[in-house]
Amino acid sequence: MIGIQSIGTYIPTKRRDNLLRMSQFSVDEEFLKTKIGMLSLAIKDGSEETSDLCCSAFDDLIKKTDDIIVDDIDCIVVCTQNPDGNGLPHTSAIVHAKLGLPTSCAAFDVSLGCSGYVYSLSIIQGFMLANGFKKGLLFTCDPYSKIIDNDDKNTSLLFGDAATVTLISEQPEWKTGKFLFGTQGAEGAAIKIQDNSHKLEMNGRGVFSFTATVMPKHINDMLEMNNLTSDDIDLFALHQGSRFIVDTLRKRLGVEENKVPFVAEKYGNTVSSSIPLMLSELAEGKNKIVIAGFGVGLSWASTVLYKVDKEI
Amino acid sequence: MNVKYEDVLDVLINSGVSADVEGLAHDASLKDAGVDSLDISNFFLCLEEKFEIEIADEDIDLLDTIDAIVSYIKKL
Repeated sequence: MIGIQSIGTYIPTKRRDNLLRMSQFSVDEEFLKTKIGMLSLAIKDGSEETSDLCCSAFDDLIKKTDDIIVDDIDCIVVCTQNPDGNGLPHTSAIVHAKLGLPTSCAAFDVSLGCSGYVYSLSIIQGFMLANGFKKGLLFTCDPYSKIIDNDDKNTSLLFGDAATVTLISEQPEWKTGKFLFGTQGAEGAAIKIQDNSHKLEMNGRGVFSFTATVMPKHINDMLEMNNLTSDDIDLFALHQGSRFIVDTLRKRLGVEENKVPFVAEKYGNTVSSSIPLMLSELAEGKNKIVIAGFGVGLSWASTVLYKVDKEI
Repeated sequence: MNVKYEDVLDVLINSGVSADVEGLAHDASLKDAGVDSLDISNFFLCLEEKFEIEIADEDIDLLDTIDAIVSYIKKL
C-alpha cells in the first residue's frame, strides 16, 4: 500500500498587503475580510523560479521527514501551469537537476490549476503502482504572480505564491479513497490567459456559479461512492478560492463551520498548493478528510483521505 | 413567467446577502442598498435556480432593482 507520508511546504515571506490596496479597487475592509478573505498575498522574489519554490518545499520536507534519501526517489511530478521559463524543458526535470536526483528517477509535469493536487495525487499513485515504485514526490507550484495584472480587480486581490511537496511512500500516514473527477471544457474560457496581455483573466460570476452548482453535488456523489456521509468527515479541505466561495460551499453542503475552514487570509489563493498547505496545517488529529479542488478547465476532482491506522 | 416583487425579494433575502434588504423598495438600487458584487453573483444564481432561467452576463448591470428583475423574468 502506498499513500501520503508527509508534506513539505514553502510560502515566500514577502507579502502584498491588500488592506493598503482597497482604495485602488473601491472595496472596503468588511468586504475584503468577509468576502474576498485574503488580507495579504505571498509573493515570490522576482529571481525565484517555480523550480526554486519547489526546492524550498523539499527543504521543509527534509526537516519533517528524516529518512529521505534522494537516491531512493523513483519519480517526481510537478503540477504547474506557470513553469520555469516557457515550460521547455519541463520544470520537473529542472527540479530533478537541482535536487540531484538519480538518473533512474522518472520526472514529468502535470498541467492543471486548482484541481491539480487531487488529480496529481491519483496520477502519481497510479504511476507508482503500475511500475512498482516505492517513493515518489508530488510537487505543486503555480506562482500566479507571473501572470497577474496588478490592476485587475477580479484577480489581483486573490492569488498568492507557494509550493508544496507530498512524499508518497510505502509508509503512509494517509491513504486515498475512490476519486471522482469532472470537466466542463466548454466553459474553460472563464479562467484563461488573455491573448494580448498574456495576463490572467477570470469571469468571476461564471467561476462562482460553476463552483456553487457543481461542487456540492460532486462532493456528495464522491462521498456516496466511498460509502460515507458528510457526518463521517472530520475536515473538508476545500480549495481556498476565496472566503466567499468556501462559505458558499459550506452552506450548500450543510456542514458545520468548523469542518470547513478558510486558512488563506495571510497568503492568498495558491492554486494547486492550497489543499496540501491546509493538510500540512490541519490534518493532525483527523481521521477522514475530504479534499476537493476546482477551477481552471473548468476542472474539478475530489477524494477522501483516511488516516492509515483507522482503516476504511 | 409569472413572478412578483415578493418572489424576487424572498430570493434576495434567502440568498444570504450581507446588506439589510428587508422591505427594499421596488425601484431601489441593489448596489446603493449595499449589496456587493459577490452577493449579487450569488443572488442571480439563486434566481436562476429558483425560476429555472438563465441570466446572461451582459444583462446583469441592467438588473439593479427588483422591478427591473421582475420585468426581465416576465419577458423570458
